[in-house]
Amino acid sequence: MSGRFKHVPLLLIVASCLLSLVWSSTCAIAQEPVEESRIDVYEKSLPTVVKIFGSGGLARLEGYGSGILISKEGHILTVWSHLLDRGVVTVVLNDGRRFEAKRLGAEPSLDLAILKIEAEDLPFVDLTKAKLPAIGTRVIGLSNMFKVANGDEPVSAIHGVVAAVTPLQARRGSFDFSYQGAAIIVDAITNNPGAAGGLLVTTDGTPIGMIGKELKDKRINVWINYAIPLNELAGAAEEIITGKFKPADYGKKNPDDESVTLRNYVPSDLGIILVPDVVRRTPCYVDHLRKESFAAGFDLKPDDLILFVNQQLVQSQQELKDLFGAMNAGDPVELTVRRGNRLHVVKFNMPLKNRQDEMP
Amino acid sequence: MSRVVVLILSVVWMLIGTASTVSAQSNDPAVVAAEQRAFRQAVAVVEPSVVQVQTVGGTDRAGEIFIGGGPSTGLVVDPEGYIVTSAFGFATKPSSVLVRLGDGRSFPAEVIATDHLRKLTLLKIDVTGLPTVEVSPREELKAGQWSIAIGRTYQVEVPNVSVGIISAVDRVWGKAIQTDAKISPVNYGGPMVDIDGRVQGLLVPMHVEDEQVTAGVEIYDSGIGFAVPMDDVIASVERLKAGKDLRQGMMGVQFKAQGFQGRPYVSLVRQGSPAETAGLASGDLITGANGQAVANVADFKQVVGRLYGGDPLKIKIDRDGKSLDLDCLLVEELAPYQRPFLGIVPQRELADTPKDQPGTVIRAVIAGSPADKAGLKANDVLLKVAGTETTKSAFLATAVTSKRVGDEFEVRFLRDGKEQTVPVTLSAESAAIPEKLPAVVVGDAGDEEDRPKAGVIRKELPGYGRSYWAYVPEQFPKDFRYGVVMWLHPPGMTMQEELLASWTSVCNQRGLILIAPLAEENAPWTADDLVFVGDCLGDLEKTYRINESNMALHLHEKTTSVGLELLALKSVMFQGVILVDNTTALPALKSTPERELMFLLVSPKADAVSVRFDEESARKLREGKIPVEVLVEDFESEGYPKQESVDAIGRWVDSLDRI
Repeated sequence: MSGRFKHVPLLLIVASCLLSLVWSSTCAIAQEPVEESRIDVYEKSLPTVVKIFGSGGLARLEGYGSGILISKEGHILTVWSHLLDRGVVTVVLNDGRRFEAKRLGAEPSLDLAILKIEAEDLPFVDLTKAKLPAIGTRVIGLSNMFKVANGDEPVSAIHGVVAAVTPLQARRGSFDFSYQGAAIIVDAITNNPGAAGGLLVTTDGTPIGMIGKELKDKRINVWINYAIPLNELAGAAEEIITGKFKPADYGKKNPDDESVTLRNYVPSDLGIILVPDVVRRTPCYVDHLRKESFAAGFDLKPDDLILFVNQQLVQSQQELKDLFGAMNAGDPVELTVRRGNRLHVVKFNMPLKNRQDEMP
Repeated sequence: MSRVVVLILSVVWMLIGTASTVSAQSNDPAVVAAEQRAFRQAVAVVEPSVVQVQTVGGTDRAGEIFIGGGPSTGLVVDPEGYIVTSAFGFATKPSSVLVRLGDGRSFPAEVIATDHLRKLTLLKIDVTGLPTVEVSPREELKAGQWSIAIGRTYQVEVPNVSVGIISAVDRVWGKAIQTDAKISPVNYGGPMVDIDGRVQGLLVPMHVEDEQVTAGVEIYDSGIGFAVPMDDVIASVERLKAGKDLRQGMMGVQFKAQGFQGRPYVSLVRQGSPAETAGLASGDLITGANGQAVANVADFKQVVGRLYGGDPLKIKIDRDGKSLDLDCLLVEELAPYQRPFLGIVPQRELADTPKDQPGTVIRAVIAGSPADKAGLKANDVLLKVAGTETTKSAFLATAVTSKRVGDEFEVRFLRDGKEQTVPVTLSAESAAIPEKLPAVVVGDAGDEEDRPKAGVIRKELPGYGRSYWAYVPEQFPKDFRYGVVMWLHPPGMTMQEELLASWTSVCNQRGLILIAPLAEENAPWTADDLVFVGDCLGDLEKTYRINESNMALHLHEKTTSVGLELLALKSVMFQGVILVDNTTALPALKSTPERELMFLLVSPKADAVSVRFDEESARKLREGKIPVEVLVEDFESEGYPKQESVDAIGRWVDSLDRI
């Protein structure tokens, strides 16, 4: 045994030498400028972020914001906000130069607006290079948050990681927020007053998102820190720049855009009678099935709790009504029901609405 | 040979060690990228054990916090289907719980038990073979280590992460580790892992001074977040599996020191408490606990703060220079506290009261109380009580409450210019209505300028679109501190006219404001209204000065249950509760030293049911050592007590500051 391993110390020395060689060589490689350091990224990205000043300053609406230069001719990507509502919109570049900006257009559903200043050879973010980051990616947010940067001072940087990439389900005050596409959620407190329109970039220099307005998550009721992915915005930005996009009317958000609440079906149409809906979040407990109704033969019993409709969680009778309300005859329905400590599934197709006439 | 190996290994180790120390602040892109990779790997290692917890039903609010009802996170702690999560997700008392795994499977979950001390809830789902995690032992947790917080809230398919470092260990009286990762409802219940994916702790909201389940949520995402060390979580889970809730272990002592840095001299041992059973006495100095040296109150809390009811505690004390060891068995709940009572209502110190009072003037003596038995009378001036000079009524209150029921001491007082001394024996607090109580008389408001509006006022509360009305007496100067009676009307009828007719004269005489928040039209009061009701009071306080020792909540049949929930709110402190015509069974309430509370139950003679309910309620309250007085009276035809009774209720409210 000992004979077999008598060279162990020697082996270890060799191994450790090799290891340290490998170590130093990795370090040596790392010193070469193949990849950009965080400081390089910061210094390179900083001049592409501008400060925007416009209307506001009253009722907790700030008169300042952020924007991203997206062409060397001075096109600026920012959020569609009160800042651009009226009067002069001023853009201050990283080098302190001030410009009066022209409003080129906006796309409210993406919460996006494009401005234009008359300048040349500007540093800019190439939107075609934008990527969607993976969770855990280290990021830097650059914005005019809290207007900390005065005069020609550059905007503020903040660092963190990508916490999640998820559809945005947010509200502003008590209203649902219009944009419901993908959002990059970050674990840094990026979304502050004046930060909307700022740039989110990875520490290897890839532009990834535009920091959005201050919003609360609808389900969890916490302020969220997020950016809208640049590749979601690139198409509309390009259309506005090339004049193919019809600019939206500033300041006029059409309330008719709100979707109409449909009430095609309610559970009792099928003969499913739920317990009385008495509180804001009454769970969907089955009270009974009406005799000789469409649902009469279903494997549903009193006290069963309907948890999912077509894989979507229903936390209240209101949600169930909304889902049933939007269905049409023939739509497949899969109810996942909790009975005691088991889940089971009931499947059917929505009957013709007039079937209820046949119901006693 | 082995020495060489050790040597080489330590050289290699030092190399790596140096490298990683440097890397923590490196701008080297390779290092930055490697760290980023390590974060992702750490998440990948633990992610299969991180589940989403969905609830159905329950309220929108827990106490004063609005909770969206969205998903939260849990962690598998046993392959047999045990999942531990933050008790925060259950603060809204949901009716059904569902666990969703990252692999897409969903299971109904059963709530097994809750650890109220560490704010953990144990769930069980019916499945086996769940992947479990590796634990980072508590002794290896060090400030400065990477801490990666993981939730599964935004999407069930992929976890959400936040990266930070451990900011401190042994926080919140030894219960938690602190991190600067962003901790919020987005990851409460999820694990906090190190760079190798070993679980350091379970993320929960915590607060140093507040033990409520939602306390600490208000500082979410602030860079101050907490996790219960995983070793402690596992120990808790093993106990929770038995299905019994765990609570903070209580001993039943109070210390002389006000702050945490003072030495732990015992000032009060609660009657029937573990401390009393162990033989601890007032004046003892605690010098050690469970083998740890104790120099101040904070040291002691660090040891006791992490123990459950049922846990043993060994204490070392110093009594008259001798060291003693005592064995204590902590309990989950102390016997209800009996508030000691002298039986006087002190003269209120008003703006025009001379500053150089020799003592506390007695405004009234409660019949049958120790003060009454000792022959004390209204207008006597109490100079010294149990050795304490009582130049202010607050000093008198402290002198009495630091004693126990049955304690005997001397009272020195001034009557007709002569000092006298009498012995008294403290009794338990009585809620009796004083037969006579002089009206509150102060200088007339006259034509004082900028005096806030008086009379009947009605105000819409901004942000709610809902209103309250109030009656404010006309004659008091603007710096007067008013007592408060808050009326919660029965659903469907505000009874504003009846109330005003009965209470206007009482309010004028007693310096009380009657305030009545209005429920949504024809809707019953619900737990969701509590914050509105509290804010009405807050709004009143913006305009008028309030005497916080004389605040009563006036409930009527059908508003009892919501009213009792209101009592649980920390922001609203009533000392008295008036129940009129109550037909709701009261829950078991218990008296505590922190909260002074008494009840007045008024039922109509003609209504045998209400009388019966009051008898039963009074019995329950007495069991919890909460002072209670019962009135059975003839009512007006409108279902409200006659003027005579309302006058008596007014005296009762005006004497809530009794000592």
